[in-house]
Amino acid sequence: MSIELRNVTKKVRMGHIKLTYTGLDLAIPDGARVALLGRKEAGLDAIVNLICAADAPDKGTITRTQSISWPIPGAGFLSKHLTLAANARFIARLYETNEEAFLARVAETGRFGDLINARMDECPTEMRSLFCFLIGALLPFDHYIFTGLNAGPKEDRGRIAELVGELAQRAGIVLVGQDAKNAEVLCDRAYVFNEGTATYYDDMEAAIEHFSSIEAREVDEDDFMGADPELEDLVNMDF
Amino acid sequence: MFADIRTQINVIAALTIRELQNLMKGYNYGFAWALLEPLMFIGIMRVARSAFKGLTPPNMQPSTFLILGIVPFYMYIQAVGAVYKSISSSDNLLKFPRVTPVDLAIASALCDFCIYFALFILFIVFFSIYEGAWPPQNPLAVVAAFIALWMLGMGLGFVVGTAARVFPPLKQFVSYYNLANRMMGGMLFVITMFPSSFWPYFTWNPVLHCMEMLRDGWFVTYTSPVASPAYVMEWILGLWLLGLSLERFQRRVPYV
Repeated sequence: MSIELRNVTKKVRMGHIKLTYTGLDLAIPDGARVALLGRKEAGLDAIVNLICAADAPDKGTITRTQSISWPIPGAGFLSKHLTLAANARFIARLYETNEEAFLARVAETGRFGDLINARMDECPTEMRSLFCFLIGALLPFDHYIFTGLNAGPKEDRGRIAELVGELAQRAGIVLVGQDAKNAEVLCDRAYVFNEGTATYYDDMEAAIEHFSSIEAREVDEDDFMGADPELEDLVNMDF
Repeated sequence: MFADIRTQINVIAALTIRELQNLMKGYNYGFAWALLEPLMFIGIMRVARSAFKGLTPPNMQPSTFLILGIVPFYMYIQAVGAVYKSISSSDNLLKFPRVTPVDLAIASALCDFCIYFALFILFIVFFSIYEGAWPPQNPLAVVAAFIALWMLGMGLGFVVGTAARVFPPLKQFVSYYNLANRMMGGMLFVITMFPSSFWPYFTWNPVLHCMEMLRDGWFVTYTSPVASPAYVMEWILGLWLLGLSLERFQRRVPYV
């Protein structure tokens, strides 16, 4: 088993989201393609934090036996005062990969051209989101955690889908969020999160039927970014 | 195990380089302020000491004496603060599964060490040559005392950082501690400036021992009667053991 949450209890307190997961069991086997489906109020960010070891459970145990990516295309850790190249080098150093080779691969795959030497805050939003996606997707992990697949300019979405398809052939995929459409294509099992419970399905149709039956609460006007984790990540960028 | 240690060293190195790069962010005042703050303080103290003669020990050159106290002390305060901040609050970098709060704390403190050590070398070499206090009596002892002070700051940062997760108002106490240490930590005096009957009120403080070791190591004309490297080591080991144990124990405590 690659990632396993056993009898986990976690209080989720994120803005207006207040709920408690009790006795949560979740198993992601080696190479599995799993969707974690839930509306925004299901507190999936907290579950992702537990999987990535960014947070600890209140009770219970979590075991990880393989390498796991960070939530892609997360951008909160990137420095907007540095260039795309400097940020890519940071990731390469962190993951002990050849800096030059990694930078060249990111630049080539994203077709960034001279933009690779531009500061993050001077870069167009869609290219920034593509960059955030690629720096994670181009590193060799055993499991990739995706919180969104709509990165980059619209004309590049096909290439992104191809890249994710390739990753799914050789590694495990955990797709987190409300993207039932992509989950149906990419994943072969799912957990549906709602009101502090997680229901397991090995049939994607049944999982999506359950997920669709959960009504999304009205999103506050102030919380207009809530529906799009990619946009939220970019706005929350550090520094 | 060695592969894990190597990985952790690489993670800390990557985080430290990032911290150093971010000092220059937007070419704002990040790096300049690190340089200016101690420089201004040294300048003010130098002027004050010229005005009130007798406050500086007669057998030590005044600017060199002040630099040996002020720059390492600022580094100590910064190390406490950097570790405290990394341990007591959440950070986006923790989303990386291989980054832990301890890595962030060490990287942040290492960044401060790099800045202040560079400043220290720059100031002390220039002023000690200018004042005729060059070369130092024992450069290794000076570097060892500087590193000990940094380790001491990190150890204290771990303890108060973890304690602040269950008792956030502790931040205020850290400010008071720093203020008290500015006056009692030997930044601006050596122990021989006081009658020996007062020494027990100062010598419990490991920071004072480090300051004494710095002056003892630099000046041929000064031998500290109280400096004890073993006492400092005991404090470092005690604080690190307590701090890391508390950090391990409190991982399940949610960030405030």
